[in-house]
Amino acid sequence: MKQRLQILGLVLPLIALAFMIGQAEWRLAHSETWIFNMQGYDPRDLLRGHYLIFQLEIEPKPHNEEASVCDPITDDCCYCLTPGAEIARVGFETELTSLSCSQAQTTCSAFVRAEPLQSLRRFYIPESHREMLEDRLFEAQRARMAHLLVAVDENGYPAISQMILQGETIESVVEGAEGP
Amino acid sequence: MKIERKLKSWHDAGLIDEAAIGRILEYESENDRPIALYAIAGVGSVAIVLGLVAIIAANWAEISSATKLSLDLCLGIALAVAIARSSVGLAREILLVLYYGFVLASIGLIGQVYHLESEPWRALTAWSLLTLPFMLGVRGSFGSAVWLSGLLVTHAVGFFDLVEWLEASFDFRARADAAVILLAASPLAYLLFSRLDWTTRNRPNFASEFWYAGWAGIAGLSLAGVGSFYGNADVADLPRTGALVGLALWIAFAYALPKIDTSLSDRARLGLRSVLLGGGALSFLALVIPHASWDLAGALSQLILLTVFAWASLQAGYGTVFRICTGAVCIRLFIIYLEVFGSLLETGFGLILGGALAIALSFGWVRRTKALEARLQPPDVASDASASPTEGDRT
Repeated sequence: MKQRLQILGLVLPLIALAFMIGQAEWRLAHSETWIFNMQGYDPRDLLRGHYLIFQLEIEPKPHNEEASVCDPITDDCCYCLTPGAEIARVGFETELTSLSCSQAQTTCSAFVRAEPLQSLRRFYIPESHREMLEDRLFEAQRARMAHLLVAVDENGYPAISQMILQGETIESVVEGAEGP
Repeated sequence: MKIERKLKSWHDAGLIDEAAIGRILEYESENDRPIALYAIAGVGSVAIVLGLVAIIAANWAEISSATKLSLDLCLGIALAVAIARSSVGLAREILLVLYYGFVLASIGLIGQVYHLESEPWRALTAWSLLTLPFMLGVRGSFGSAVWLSGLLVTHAVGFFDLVEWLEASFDFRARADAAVILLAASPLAYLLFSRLDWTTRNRPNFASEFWYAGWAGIAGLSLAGVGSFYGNADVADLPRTGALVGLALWIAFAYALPKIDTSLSDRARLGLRSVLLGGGALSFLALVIPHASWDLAGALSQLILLTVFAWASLQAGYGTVFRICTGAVCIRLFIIYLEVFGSLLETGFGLILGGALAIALSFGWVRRTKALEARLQPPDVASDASASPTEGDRT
């Protein structure tokens, strides 16, 4: 009995880790991907180098003329997601309409929760390519060609799917830099 | 110095005879523990854990995410199997510490691969909870210290994140009250865990290290509490409810001390109670009395507390802690000089005076500490300490 408990204690972390991987995969597989512009990053982060820091360009419109844009921190705030203008080699920009999450669940065909969307800030990168990728992100931001693909599940929870710099994924940028 | 050289010098001084030397050497060889081996193995296992974290942090590009995650899980399975097949001893201890680090590194790897954003306390709490069942199997002092360190980091990060969350949800006063209550209760949890029947019977290293950590927490919080005399505090800012509840918790713990640790001698109990009540009372005053920046009150309160801690550690038979506390009194006195006459240091006179004070304090500490220890030490503590290893050995 004691030995079984000990084995259970050893197996528990492995089950939990496998569950975390499965949950993340399931979320990506069962989500719709939306494209967001990225703004400048904060270069003061001490761990900078292991990830790119960015800020999503989130400019929601009010739900109707009388309504105001909700506050992601203090309000029960969600955004309806609709495809906007086309971005060459990337897809369609996402347009956002602000409203409460209870309204969004009933009225929007797709919606995202505002607070978790605002908190997406890091994209992990290979440390050996950090300087090159930081430069590419900066260039892309200046050209307004830095985009983040965000997978949003049916409950409105977002997860980072991919970063696109000037029409190229991070993997392609790294492969291009390493050469054939 | 090797024990043989020590024994020879004692023999030359006429303190012990040849027969005693023989008995001591025989005892030492029978009870010899490979401390160097333990230390090297401990450092090695920590280095491997740090290496795992560094490799994951580097996020090397050549390996795909799926391969990284698969390799990670395979490594976890290999470690778990190795632990399950190992018997109690140094190898098992190292494997448990490695597995402990592996779980944290794996949580980091998953966060990295899927670009997950979350507060650090979530990852640390998940790590501490998931590893709790197998880390309770650790028996050695090194593994216990690693686990205690991990718990303390989780505790501290969780506490700061909780206060941040309270900031968004409650007003300043309610937030400060909650923070003071949580802070006051935290070291008591470590002390209670250290004196559980299971802990003292089966995990004496946990018991010893958590006991020390708890008392260090009480001492640190008391010093920080009276440190609030250094700032301005208006009536509206004072966490009076929190301070009252915190003091009540410490009084209740002091009252229940004989039941919590039945092995404490009367003097040890008196010493530890004085730490709780002295620290609690002075911190309480600092947190409930509206004050301007009362630097002198802050400095004097900290000096009083350090003196109480030094006296209490002697009562409890903790000689090393006594010397640390008296050393801290000297350092605190020097800091008072810097606080009061700090501007003088820009002059030659101030530098000479400061230097002379520093030398006098260090000489005084070296010369007087042992004499003071002997004078303050009650005659029966030495015999208590030698009779009760649970107390004497804690130093």
